[in-house]
Amino acid sequence: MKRTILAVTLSLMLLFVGCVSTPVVDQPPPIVPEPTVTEPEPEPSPFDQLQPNTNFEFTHQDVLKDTLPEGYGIGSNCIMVGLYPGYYEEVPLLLKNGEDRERHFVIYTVTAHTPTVTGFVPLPETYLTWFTPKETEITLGKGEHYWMTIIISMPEDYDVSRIHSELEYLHADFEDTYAKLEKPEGLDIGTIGAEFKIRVDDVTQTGFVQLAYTSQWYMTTTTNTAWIQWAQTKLKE
Amino acid sequence: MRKGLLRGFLVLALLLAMVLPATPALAADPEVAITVTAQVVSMTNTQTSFPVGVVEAGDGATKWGSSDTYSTAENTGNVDIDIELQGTDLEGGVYDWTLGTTAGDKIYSLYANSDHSTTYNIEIKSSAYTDLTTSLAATWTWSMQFTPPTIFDAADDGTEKSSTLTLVASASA
Repeated sequence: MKRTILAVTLSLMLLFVGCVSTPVVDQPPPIVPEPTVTEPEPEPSPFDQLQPNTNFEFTHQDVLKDTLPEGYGIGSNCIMVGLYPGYYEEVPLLLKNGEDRERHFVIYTVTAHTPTVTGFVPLPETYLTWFTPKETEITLGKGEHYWMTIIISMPEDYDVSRIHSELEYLHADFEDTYAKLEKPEGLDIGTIGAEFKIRVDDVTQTGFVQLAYTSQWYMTTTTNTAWIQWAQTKLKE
Repeated sequence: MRKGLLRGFLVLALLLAMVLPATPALAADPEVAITVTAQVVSMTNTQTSFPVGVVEAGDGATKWGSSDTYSTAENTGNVDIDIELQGTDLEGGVYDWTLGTTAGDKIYSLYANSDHSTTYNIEIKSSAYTDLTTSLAATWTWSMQFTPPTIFDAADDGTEKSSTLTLVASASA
């Protein structure tokens, strides 16, 4: 009886030895998790407010977190696909002031004098009214940023064949370029592409040499009436 | 019999204790970070003035400073940029001087060169933009040449005139 008890006790002790004191040469030391750092809530992106739109793609998405020691900056490119009669959208565009001083800005639309994308043409000034800054003047303090609003609006009764008759389209270069763009479903290749810019000037600058920035925008339209009707229906959903 | 079984059990327990390793601590799951960077167009330029001084009708071209003084444009944004130039007429006094291709009657000209070139062949216009450089990632040096009108009205003698040269930057396509 004593031997049995002794044997059982010894067995139990031997079974637990490996769990407590056996050195494991090849195992890494246990990882101690770093203390949790609570980061401030990120500023909501203004793009969250846009309705899902299959008709355009915006290439810059978020608030710039880096600071600008001096000067100012604006958001860059917008690629827009499939503008049609009745289209309306308010698109945010970033304006960021430097840390050096307060500035007063003037915002306006200009045409692109030289196309940057093969197959696109400068948008005639007549059509710049389709793209208007909601605010044409803004004052920002040191280090402040602001989301400007660019209103895109093609009149509902506009006959798109008019712009198509004015601009060069359906040539091989444009088709090659357009083939690479992410297009809405069913968009006909019978389409034109045009470029324009949103320009921001700091009117508080002095001196002979002054700086200005432009945001590059692209638009296309189509004469495919079936697609236009489809897009207009989607917009109303 | 019982003693034999007991000894066998003890030996087996000893052997298992020597072979089985200790249970290691669980490793933390790796974290995946995704960074989204906004594209912002921004730049600086070292020169902000171009003092020409007193000129007479028909004077030759004046370069920026007494010799080829270069200005440096620096990209301070986070996307490559294209830089264009646009000038204005010289205003002040009785008559403005028009910015033109060739100096003439109340017409002055302004040309730039690029990246330490000795040839001033980039015409600066008021009615259109002129390319200075494209796909600029860091810095770019440039300079200018001013040519006064060949003729101007005596009513403008002694009057100061000024104009503006704008460097317009946009993201490279």
